[in-house]
Amino acid sequence: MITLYDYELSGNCYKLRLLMNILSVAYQSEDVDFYPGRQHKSDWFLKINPLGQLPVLVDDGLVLRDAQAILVYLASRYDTSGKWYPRDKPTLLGQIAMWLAFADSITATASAARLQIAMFFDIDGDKARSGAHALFRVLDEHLWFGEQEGRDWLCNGDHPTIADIACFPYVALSEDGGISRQDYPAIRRWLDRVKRIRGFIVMSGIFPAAVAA
Amino acid sequence: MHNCRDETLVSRWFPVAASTDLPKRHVFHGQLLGEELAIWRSDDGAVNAWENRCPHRGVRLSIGTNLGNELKCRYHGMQFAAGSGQCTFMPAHRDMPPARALCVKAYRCREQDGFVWTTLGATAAFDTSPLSEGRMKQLRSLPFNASALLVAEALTRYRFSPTTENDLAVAQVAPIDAFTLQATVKNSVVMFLLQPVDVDRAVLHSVLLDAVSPADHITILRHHNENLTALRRSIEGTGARLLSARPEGADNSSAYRKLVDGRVQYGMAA
Repeated sequence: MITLYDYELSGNCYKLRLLMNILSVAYQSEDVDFYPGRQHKSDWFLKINPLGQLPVLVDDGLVLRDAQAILVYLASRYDTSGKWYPRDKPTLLGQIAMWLAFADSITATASAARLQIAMFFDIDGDKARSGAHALFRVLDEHLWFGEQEGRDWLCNGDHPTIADIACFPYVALSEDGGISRQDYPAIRRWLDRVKRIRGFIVMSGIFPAAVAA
Repeated sequence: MHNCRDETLVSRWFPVAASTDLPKRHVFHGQLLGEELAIWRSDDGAVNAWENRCPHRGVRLSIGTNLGNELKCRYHGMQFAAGSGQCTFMPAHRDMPPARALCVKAYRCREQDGFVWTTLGATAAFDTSPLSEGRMKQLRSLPFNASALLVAEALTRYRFSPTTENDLAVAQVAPIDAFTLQATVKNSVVMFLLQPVDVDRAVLHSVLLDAVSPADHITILRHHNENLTALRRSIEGTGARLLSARPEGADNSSAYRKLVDGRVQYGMAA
């Protein structure tokens, strides 16, 4: 049985719950009290991840940290369709890696702004928000041209990939950090599309989309 | 944020979204003259531009659910009818007809020439759209962190080139009124329509008319998007300096003075 070291309000933990639900992968959650307990910096947790960060996934003796790395692993091992991380398509793999790195930048900005506002972290919130807006402009432009070209997702092809799952949570939670999405209409439509993926689940602060059928 | 609101502006019609911004069962988050809008298309194709505020507890309707013929508030599940904005269903009082006063403020709006147009006023008839002639190509609408006035001023210095690389044919952009500008070169016309979001923000909607170009559709869209985002970078640099120079008390900054005067001019020219 897979164990996910998990925190309910973490977008990076949520993206793993989301992909595992989409792929119908069974797992158990080990709750780590990130805020206010700071258990991710406790002695027992640092033995599991010396970086003191969530999430961590343990599967069959393999211990993995870093949400994006875990998405790669889960899709490679458990996605029987081969579409979420298409190992035989170099173009897509390159694009996916690019957006996984982008997801880390979103964590460093939009998620940081949310930590500052909602969990009182000592972070320069204005700098984080302005960094997030710069990223969201890039993302909105990419998605708008995607719509013009008939592409619904971050990467080429007609199926979402782990890149969409990686970037989704902290974009969808940005308003918790004081980052409005009013100026990003193509992002708002993409959020709806992700929410309509079969197997989609929510977390606190993320609402389902209207059924569009 | 309401000092850009005068009667002339309130009664004017502005584009507030592109038609393609409203796919099925979506709710678009817009804003005009400081007023936030929830803009959505019902399943019969009609567009709605509503005050972005549930009359029950004030939650933004742009996070609500488009049910096809009603918009459902995310907070308490109240449903409001397309067209009128009248509440049709209250989950906590399902056998009671909702009070007539429980009604979203629905602004007048219409869809024409690829845009959703709205006015905050109650009376003015819809102007003839300036776009109704010829073949049209809608460019990507761009939000600016700068007033519509600043964007309009900068556009008069913008060099419009209708096609892509190595094209020496460029044209000056000339204002038609405070929110509409135009340029013509080699039988190509570009129309710029400015949507004043609030005093410090605007959306620039751009349309090519009768554009004849060998380049493909996406290449043309990218060409203009690149040029207009470059324009945005230059304006926002200026705008940011203006805003950071905004004084607490008396103001002797000529640039800021010009902004204030410009806001007054809006009403005169619009």
